[in-house]
Amino acid sequence: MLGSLREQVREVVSTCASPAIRADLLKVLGRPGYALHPDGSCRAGLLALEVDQAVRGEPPRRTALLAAAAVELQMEAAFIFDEVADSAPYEHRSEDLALAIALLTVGGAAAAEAAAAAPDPSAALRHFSMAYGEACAGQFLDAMLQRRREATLDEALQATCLKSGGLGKYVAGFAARIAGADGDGVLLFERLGSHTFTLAQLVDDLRDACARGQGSDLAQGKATLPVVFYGQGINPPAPLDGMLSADIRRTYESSGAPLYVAILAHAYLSRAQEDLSLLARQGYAVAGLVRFLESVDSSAAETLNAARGGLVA
Amino acid sequence: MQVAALAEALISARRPDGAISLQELETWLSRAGLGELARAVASLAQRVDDVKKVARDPGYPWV
Repeated sequence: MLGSLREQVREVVSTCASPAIRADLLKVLGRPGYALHPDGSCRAGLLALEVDQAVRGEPPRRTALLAAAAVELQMEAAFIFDEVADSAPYEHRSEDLALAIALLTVGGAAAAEAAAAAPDPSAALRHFSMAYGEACAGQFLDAMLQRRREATLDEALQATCLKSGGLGKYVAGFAARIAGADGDGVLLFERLGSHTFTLAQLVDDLRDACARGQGSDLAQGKATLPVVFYGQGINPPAPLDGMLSADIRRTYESSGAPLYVAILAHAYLSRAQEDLSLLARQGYAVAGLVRFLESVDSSAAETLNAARGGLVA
Repeated sequence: MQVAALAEALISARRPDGAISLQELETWLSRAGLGELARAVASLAQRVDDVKKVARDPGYPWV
């Protein structure tokens, strides 16, 4: 499915974007971590395709691929905003922002075409626009908390759930509406998307909290849950000039922050598994979604297992 | 989710040597009515056990 999704993304960009920037859009999507790079995970598009299969019980048709490409392009635009927000000023910043906005418009065009085949096109498009706004609110809160430097754990969780959970809800809800799921089913798919993407974000935050170099979340003072938990300890040493000393690393590892976030990640994994059980009971063909959740969990395994230091089971 | 209560529980469950008992943490959370988080701790403990078993298996010397 990944190959078909990438092909659809290429086609949408090639047919819907202004010819003046098509090559630049394809180039940015080919960067490491982005959709057209061989290692790009395309998590949003793949979740959309699995939701479609769960609802219709057959391989994705063009409409489903268009819907998946639409949400993937919105996700890629969010990645660019994230990258620009996290980087020091650099000369390509304004060009990248223009490309991110172009991706949003191209994604919107693909969504309109996909929604035309949905049972309720206007409801599908309304969700496409409004639910993405929830994720934008999360991005805003995240940036605001980072600048304020004194986030609480509840605020950090709220930002995580809005930013990443919001994206998962947006992706799964759009795909479910396009595929023709009923009202209860749409709500369950949205919950599954929210819990799965929140799990993935917690694992990313765990991995990035104390990463080497200046790029770690701790060095940047981000308002992620492990960083906020660490900051609430008794006089935790703070990074100097954005560098993490060996002392800070040791203090972080023994602070309980990795274990704290690993427990939260397991709670969201359980929620997602419960959503899958409810969907199966309603008659949806969830085998692909089970594999999708397993792939998120298995990519998290190394990070979650690394959080077990200092434990007495 | 009760993230502040979990943080408090984790600090309370810490032993003088700095180690944290997952079993004690699970009990503390259950008593505090935080069943979902208690189950998450149990799930994590199971994962830790599984990794230990794999690590002891001579078929997996690289773990």
